[in-house]
Amino acid sequence: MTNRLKNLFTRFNWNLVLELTRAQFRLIDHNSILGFFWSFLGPLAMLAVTYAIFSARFGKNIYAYPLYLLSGIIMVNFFINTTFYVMKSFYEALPMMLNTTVRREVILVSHIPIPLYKFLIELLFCVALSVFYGRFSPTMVLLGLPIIASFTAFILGVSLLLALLFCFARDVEHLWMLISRVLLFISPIFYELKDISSWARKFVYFGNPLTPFVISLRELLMGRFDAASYAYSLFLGVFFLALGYWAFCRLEDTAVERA
Amino acid sequence: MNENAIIAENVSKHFFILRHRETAFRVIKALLHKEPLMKKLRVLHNISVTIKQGERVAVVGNNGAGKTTLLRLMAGIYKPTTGLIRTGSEPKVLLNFWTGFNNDLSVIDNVYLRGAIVGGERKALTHDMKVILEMAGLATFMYSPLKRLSMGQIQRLSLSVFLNTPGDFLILDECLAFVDKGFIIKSDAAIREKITGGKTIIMASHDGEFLARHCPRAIWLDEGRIRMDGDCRRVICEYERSVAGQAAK
Repeated sequence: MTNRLKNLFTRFNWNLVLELTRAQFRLIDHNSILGFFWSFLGPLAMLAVTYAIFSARFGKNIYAYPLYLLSGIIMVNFFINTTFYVMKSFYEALPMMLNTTVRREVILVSHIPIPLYKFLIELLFCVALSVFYGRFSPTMVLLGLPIIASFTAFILGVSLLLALLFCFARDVEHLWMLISRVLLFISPIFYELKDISSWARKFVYFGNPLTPFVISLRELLMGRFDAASYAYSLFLGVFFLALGYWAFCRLEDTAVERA
Repeated sequence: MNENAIIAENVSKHFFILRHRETAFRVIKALLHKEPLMKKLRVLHNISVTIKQGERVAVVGNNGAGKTTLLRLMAGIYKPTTGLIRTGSEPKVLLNFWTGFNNDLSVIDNVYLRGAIVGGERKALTHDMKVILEMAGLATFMYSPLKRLSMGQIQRLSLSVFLNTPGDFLILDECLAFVDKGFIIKSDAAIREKITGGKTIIMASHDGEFLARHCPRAIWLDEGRIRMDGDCRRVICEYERSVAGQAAK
């Protein structure tokens, strides 16, 4: 696996990722009138709805509740959208995998930049809100970068696992849709952990790997720092990427032949 | 290994295919009765072949004989079920002319995209763009979306990008299936120039004339086994005689 990793960072692969990403950027809003704005309408609509519903119940005790909500929404959205996108892209790219010598993980990695780019733009809205509420500090940007990198690594790791499973059974898509909906409610997006019961708190924090990412990045946007969640997030990112890549190396050939 | 581009020793390849349509009911039934859902399909049997660096080898055989599977094994896309394949360097492959293209992108964007897949860099592709498009006969279609082109034109573009990017070890499968005779004649010299000069080439095609013009050696695959390996014209002649014999029956 070490050898394989070494051969991954070649000029050829870098050039390929760039070209595949470029092509996707050209195609992403092809023939769309509102184009890129569609990417923001979803999170903004969800922000409006969740704010209208939950601000009276949960929001009254949370400072800068719109920022609190938006940061959670965009993170969970980034996770759900990217995992779906990468999972399906693996199957859709099968002709390329069967007819070229291109490394399969390179094709998957090339599907990350677009959702990541959209996520970063959305994050700028959060930064603007953070400035508005007087919570912004330049240190948080520096501390935020490793969390964003770790979150992306975590998403890639999960996507690699899902892409493999999807080749064996299409049911994975439906199952993942179901899990995604559940994740939306078991992530602390519109409520705080202290607002829920003790066992639910433990479940949401340790049972849902999204929680530490949401908490650590949001705390930074709020001008605070949660060391435990921060460290836990960094660990999860590395762990899931290693797990996903290990499984991918072992099963990619079977998955491609089976699909 | 230095002198050899590929060494294949007793290579076999099996696939598992579904016995029936896969439904939840059949999956449960198979689990309960411990019946296998899949059956083994043997595509290649004990293939042993050595191809030297700089050799040009044709692969012939009927549909389903295992040509594409053999080429994919040689390219490292598939792993052999049994046996061993060793390659001197990573080959550049053209197994499907459509791979890597996108219908909605312009011809020029598709050149960059397809070029990157076969190891071409943007700077070099920009430099060679005129040559690539002229060879494909598509100089006037530079900014047209690919979907406006015919199958033959897309295949010409694919072949042109492939031949105008660097690579010393080439594997091609049915690279001229949709191309008109005029293009074959026109580009024969260009193809000859591109594929000679010490390059190792393995190509499968149903166009015996084309193969005989470019390859001194041929391998005839028949139902997953090597039936004949030797002088290209002789192998193709035998193969075509066999095909004619089968058709007469």
